[in-house]
Amino acid sequence: MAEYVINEAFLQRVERLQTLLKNNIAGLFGGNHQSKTFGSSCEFADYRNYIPGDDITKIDWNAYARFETLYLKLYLDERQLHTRIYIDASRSMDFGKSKKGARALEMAATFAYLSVCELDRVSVYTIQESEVTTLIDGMVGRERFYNEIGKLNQIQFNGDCFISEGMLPAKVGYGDGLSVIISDFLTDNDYERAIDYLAEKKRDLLCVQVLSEEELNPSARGKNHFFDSEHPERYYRRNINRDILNAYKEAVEFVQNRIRNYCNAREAGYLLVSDAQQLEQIFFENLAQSGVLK
Amino acid sequence: MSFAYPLGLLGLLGIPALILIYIIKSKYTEQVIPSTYLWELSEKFLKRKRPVSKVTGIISLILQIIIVLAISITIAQPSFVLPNSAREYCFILDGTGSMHAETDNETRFDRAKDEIKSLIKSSRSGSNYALVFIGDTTYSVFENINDKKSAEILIDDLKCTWSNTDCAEAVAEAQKCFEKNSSTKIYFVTDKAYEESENIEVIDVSKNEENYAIVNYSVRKQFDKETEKAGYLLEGSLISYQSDATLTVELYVNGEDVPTDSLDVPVKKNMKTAFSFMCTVSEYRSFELRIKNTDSFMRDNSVFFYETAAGDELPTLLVGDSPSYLRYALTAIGNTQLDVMSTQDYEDYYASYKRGEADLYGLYIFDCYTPKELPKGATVWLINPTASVPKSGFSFQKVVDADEDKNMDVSEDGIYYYEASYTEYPQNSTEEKVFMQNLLKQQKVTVHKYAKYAVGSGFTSILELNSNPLIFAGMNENGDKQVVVSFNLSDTNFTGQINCLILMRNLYRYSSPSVLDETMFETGDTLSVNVLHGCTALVLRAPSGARISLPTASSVSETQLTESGVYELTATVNDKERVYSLYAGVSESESHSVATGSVSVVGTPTSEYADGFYDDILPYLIILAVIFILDWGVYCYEQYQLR
Repeated sequence: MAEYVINEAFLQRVERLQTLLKNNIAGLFGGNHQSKTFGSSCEFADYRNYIPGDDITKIDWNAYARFETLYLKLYLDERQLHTRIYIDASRSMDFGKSKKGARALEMAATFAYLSVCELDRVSVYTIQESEVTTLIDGMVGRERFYNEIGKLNQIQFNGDCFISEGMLPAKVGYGDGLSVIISDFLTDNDYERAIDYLAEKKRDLLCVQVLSEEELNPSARGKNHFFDSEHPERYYRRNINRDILNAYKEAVEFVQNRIRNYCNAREAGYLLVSDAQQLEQIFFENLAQSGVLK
Repeated sequence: MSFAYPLGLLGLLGIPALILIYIIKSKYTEQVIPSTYLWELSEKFLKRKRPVSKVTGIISLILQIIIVLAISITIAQPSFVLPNSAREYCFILDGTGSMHAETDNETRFDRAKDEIKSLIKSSRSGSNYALVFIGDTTYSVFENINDKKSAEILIDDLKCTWSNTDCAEAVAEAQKCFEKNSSTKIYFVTDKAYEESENIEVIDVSKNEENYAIVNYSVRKQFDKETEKAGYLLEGSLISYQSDATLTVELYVNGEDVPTDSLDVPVKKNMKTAFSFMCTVSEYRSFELRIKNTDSFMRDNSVFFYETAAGDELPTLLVGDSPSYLRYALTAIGNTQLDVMSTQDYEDYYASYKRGEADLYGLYIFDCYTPKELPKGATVWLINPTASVPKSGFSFQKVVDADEDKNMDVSEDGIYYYEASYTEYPQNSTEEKVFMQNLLKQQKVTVHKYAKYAVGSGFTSILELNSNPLIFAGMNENGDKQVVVSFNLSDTNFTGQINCLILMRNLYRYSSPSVLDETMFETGDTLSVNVLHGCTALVLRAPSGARISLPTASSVSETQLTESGVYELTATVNDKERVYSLYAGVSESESHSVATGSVSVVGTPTSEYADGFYDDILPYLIILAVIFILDWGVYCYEQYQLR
């Protein structure tokens, strides 16, 4: 990155954002991460009849005095979750005037901060070619966050990105939290298997598609010869007129719908982010509308 | 395809130059973008509805090539040969009086010209055109013209005349065209109801317009029994050619604005209905008969009568010792300013005149008296001069006496005589009209004794004997008119004949002619104007305002009256202008489009046409250029402006 995206000013914005979110929104995917099983937390859940062998300290003696029957008090089980953030570090994410890379890092840092504030563990990975590299592993607590989040600035966007091929062999956890994939998804490469894989692993999943404003609403007109930043042998040479622009917009819509529908079918979240959008706008409007934040 | 200006095709060199510029000039903007994925994917969504869109990348080049091509071709003026499509056309255009009939501010002649121009315009380029015009004369306006615009210009320049239609000469001209090329298409554009023939197509430009006319008109002196006053009786007939009508005819006297009299006359279609006015005036300058109703052809609705211009009476001096016959004869022919003087008195008078104490007469008649010199500036009649007179143009030789001629027979009364004869001139010659008018030439003139003269070439012989002029007239060396009679009136039987008075009247008119002998004409007639002594200019102003200068060198000046209406003749005599009016009416045949039979040319038409061509591509080129410029504008808008 030409400049440090994750800097002090950004972190202050993230803190303000977190405060605002805390006051208005319950949290990521329902917050508090309550388990569906009963456990040993302090939060009462229900009663059941006493069975010999049960912990007698959990018997509700007040209920026994009233009903002369032994009832056992049940409490919710509460666990620490592990948020895993995957960043597409291909060349297309940060080439030319595009700010997709910066927006991806900001999104990753913000998700990480929100998770840290929930006392969850956070890991950040980059996907480059077919390899998933751990950038931050098991980060817990705000202090560590502030110490380690700067590593995001070290990411070099280069090469291609094969999400499925990278994630399938990697350790992604099982049923213990949220996985966020941040990418432009502008590829025919297989990313669906990665989504399926994470779903099988009972992970909550959010796919964040980051596109630049130029990609959403191209300003190119007339005769243009475009070269692909990731694959120099690929090019597009056309006289861009109204018909082509219309077709392009249909292609953009197709790409969005394809991944959105795929995510919806697997109870995964989908979020489209433009590099022109403000962070606050993304979290208050886009995420809320998509149901990721409640 | 051929080109009128092939050099214009040099402009095509601009096309390779244009292509070269486009090749050199790279038009594609190269840039590296994050991913071409979306652009490549968009190909799947591109609607391939317009094959032409494939060339949109070079559309501006194509457009500019087309423009260069169009400009070059336009400059080169291409023409496409169309085999066997061009014809020969011969148009006969009727430009006679009736073609002036007007409807909705358009005359028949205008319609006729439009018809011909329309036929020319619709004909195939490469065709040849000929036009025969029937006007005052029939002539070929153009022939073998293949340029439509030139033909149209020549047609536009034609002016309708007031002459009568006579198509025989025009048909003869068309016959010539037909003989040159038997596939010639002949059109006769007229308002007359000619029947078509196989070879001539008649285009009738009349619209059966309403038309009234005054015909068979006249004026004469009449004694009105009711008022017991002398006056003038004006008579005529009214006719309505198209429908029954009640016509109001008015009489205007001496050019006054208010009619003196008027009549309402019911008139049946095509039936002449007589009318008359009695105008009890002792003398008049002009009468006008006018139909008040309006119609399409107004020129035949009015008729003008002008008094015949009286000749200026010459102050006459008759010199002789016993001129009683001449005095009575001159009085009889209307000379009222006659003085008679003896020869002795004349010599005194002439001496006084030379001193400037006496006036000059207009006409001097010397009866059996030979003056020593001729009065200059006056007409002179010399009766039997027996000596040569200076500057008279002839010289005296001898007296020939029949009594002394041994070869002469004896007459019944015992007197010898010679028999003279009138000089023969062609029938319509000026001499015949001026001197011989109304003479009974079969009457024999016998002369007992006469003088023989050597006569100069400037004299016209009237009566002659053995090639010797006995009576001759002409101009003397003073430039004055002069009449010479070579015998004593008492030595001939001439004075006992009516011819003597007739000849004296002719000679007097010659000496003092009236400018106009008549004032009522029909269009196409010839006007004869007598050139008075001292007349230096004759100007005739036609109804259209055109001024015609008539020659004054001869004693009679003639011109054809080609227009209908009132003419004004101005004669400048002795530096004084005299104005006369005359009227030329429309002939009855021109008032109405009567059926006049058929017109045809001899021969069998063929269909051997020449090669035509088509060269009027400029409008199409302009339309194409406009379309492509518009398309180019749309293209530019899409390329650079659409957001």
